[in-house]
Amino acid sequence: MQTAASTKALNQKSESASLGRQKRRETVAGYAFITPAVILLIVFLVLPFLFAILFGFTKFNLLRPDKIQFIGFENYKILFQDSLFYKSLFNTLYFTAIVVPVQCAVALMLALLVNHRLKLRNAYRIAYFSPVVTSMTVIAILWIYLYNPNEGLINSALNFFGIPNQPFLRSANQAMHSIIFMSVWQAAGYQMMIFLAGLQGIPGDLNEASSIDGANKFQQLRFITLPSLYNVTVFVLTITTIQAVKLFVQPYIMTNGGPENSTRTLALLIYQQGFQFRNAGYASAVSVIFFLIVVFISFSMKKFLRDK
Amino acid sequence: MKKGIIAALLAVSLLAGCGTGGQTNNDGPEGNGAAETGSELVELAYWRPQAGEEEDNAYVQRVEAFNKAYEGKIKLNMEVITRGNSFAYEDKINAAVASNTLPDVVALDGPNVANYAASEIIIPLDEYFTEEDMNDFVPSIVQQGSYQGKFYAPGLIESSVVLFYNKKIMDKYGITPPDKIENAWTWDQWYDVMKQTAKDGVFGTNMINDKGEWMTYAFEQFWISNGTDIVNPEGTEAEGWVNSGQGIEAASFLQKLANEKLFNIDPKPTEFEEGKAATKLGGPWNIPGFKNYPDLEWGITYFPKKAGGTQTAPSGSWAVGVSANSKHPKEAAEAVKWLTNKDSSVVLAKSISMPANRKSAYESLPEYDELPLRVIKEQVTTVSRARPVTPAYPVLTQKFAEALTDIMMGAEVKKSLDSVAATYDDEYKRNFAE
Repeated sequence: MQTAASTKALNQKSESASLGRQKRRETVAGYAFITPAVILLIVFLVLPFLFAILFGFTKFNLLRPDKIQFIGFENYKILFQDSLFYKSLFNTLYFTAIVVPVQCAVALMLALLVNHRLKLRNAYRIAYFSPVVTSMTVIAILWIYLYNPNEGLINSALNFFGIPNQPFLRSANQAMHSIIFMSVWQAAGYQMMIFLAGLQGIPGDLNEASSIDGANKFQQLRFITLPSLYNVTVFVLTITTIQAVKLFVQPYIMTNGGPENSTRTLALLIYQQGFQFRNAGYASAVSVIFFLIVVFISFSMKKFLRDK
Repeated sequence: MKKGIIAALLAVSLLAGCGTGGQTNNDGPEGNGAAETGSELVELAYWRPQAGEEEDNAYVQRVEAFNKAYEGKIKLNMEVITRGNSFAYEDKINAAVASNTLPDVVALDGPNVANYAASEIIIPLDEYFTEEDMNDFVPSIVQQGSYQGKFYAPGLIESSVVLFYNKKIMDKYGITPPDKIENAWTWDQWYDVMKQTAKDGVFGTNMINDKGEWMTYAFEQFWISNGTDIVNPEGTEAEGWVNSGQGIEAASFLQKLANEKLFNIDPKPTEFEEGKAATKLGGPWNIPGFKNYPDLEWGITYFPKKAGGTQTAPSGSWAVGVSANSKHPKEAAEAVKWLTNKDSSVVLAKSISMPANRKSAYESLPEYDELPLRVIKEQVTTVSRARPVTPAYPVLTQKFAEALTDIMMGAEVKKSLDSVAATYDDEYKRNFAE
């Protein structure tokens, strides 16, 4: 009896030992799998960011990497007195505040549309998605022509309806809105795809059951589709926000931050200070602040959306 | 379209060529081997920004000739960098400085000489040029290439901005543009011409080449003509210059043209060529393209001046220097001398009808003795003014270009110019004042 019991215990022990070995092997394999990604992250993300923090405390002319001067919080002092910094911060937040809800709403509408059993459904899907796969630079240049204040296609269309020529990108009041409009047009297809995947994950019997209970189309949308899409929506909102905050290509190509700095964003400010004016120290300080803002926004969004 | 394909092919072939050049440059520890290469082939990397097809071809021709002349000794590998209408080439230079990968021979825009020299990324070349050689350059070339008494980078050619006009449109309204420099149109006369001709989808003028460097290059002259400038002569201060009374007057004139829609703020590059603009502020580099438009009959007149003010014209060009990273400065200087010698000057000047950088070159360019090119030669040799020589030029040109673009789109003139002055003076004090 005793022997049997001890044998059993022994067996168990060796079993758990082999289990442990297997677990260890899995752990090693796991680390082996993530190592390349971690190395890349460290080299291209963590290290540069640590450098940015470091350089934020220096006077560093990009053409003089041999003459870097430690100046403490001087850059931050200048930054918080720089009206252009506040203007850029405002523009960035303004763009984000408008683009995120509008773009997500448009994307959801498009997704609902192409989820129907329409003829040529795939053609529509491709049409809505194609701007996403086109380079933003190409799109931005095309839209400069579309927005041309004198002979642009959009103005010709407006003229047809009796509306006079609009300056679009060449007016401090309209430039940011023009960029918002084309950005939504360009990127909504991407979020549409994610929503579409979410929509197709909703079991059909839910809608069937509700229609037997007498729910109309709108009620189905309100009480079944939208709640089922909650997690997808959280994801879409988060990535859209992070993308929006980083706005750079459109103002860089289309307006160079003008007119009157109305389209200058934080990313553009960092680029201009760092590369055109070669004030790498100051640009690093701005990017540290920029990073903190992005982190703050994404964390508070996560908290707000999860707690609901 | 065809032009684009050829340019792309060219760029690819040059990139392929440069791959090896870069490698040769980078391998081996410092100071090892480089000194005793002796009979070994020295490979040099050379960067320059992409230009028009004719200009690019002229450089290819001169680099090939150099490699033939120095066969077995020096091989110059040219890499053409896309510039766009912005500062993409300068961005590339900045990145190369940070990573110590500048090519041996580097092209740079004239007004950047001071900045690059002050940052010690290009080296003085005085020892490689004889006095006779230096005297042969037109004065503006020496002026542009010098910083604090040393000569760093000879200009490859010279440039100028003139007022092109469409002959048919001028004839239609009975306008005779001046052909003598003392009769050059004043701003008001030019304005009247624009007012008369801006009709039926035709603009009075075409004057926006790009909204970057062009804005400073072309329009600083309006400040000079009105008796001021955008910075003081020492280059240390903009307050009281760019935003002086005369400066505000110059900017207001340009704003008036914009308000009355006498030019297109976003023009098609070929607006003038297609007969959609009566005049055009442009440069000699535009001329080769005109022959693609057989219907276009064009003439040249002088850069407009302020009534009672100074007759002036923009000048300046891309220059070429030797980078501080080069392990072969002597050979690199040979290449610089070759690219700016009389033969190169003539080849370049002929291919793109740009005015030559050397006096001796004009002997081989008789076309500059007659109209229309005589206008260009007169401006280059008598009234042209270089852009400000200051190490803070990148900030000056960026902020000035932004402000002027804003002004043309309706921004308040004084406020915009005040902001240029404040930003420039801050930047200069913070980074360059001793």
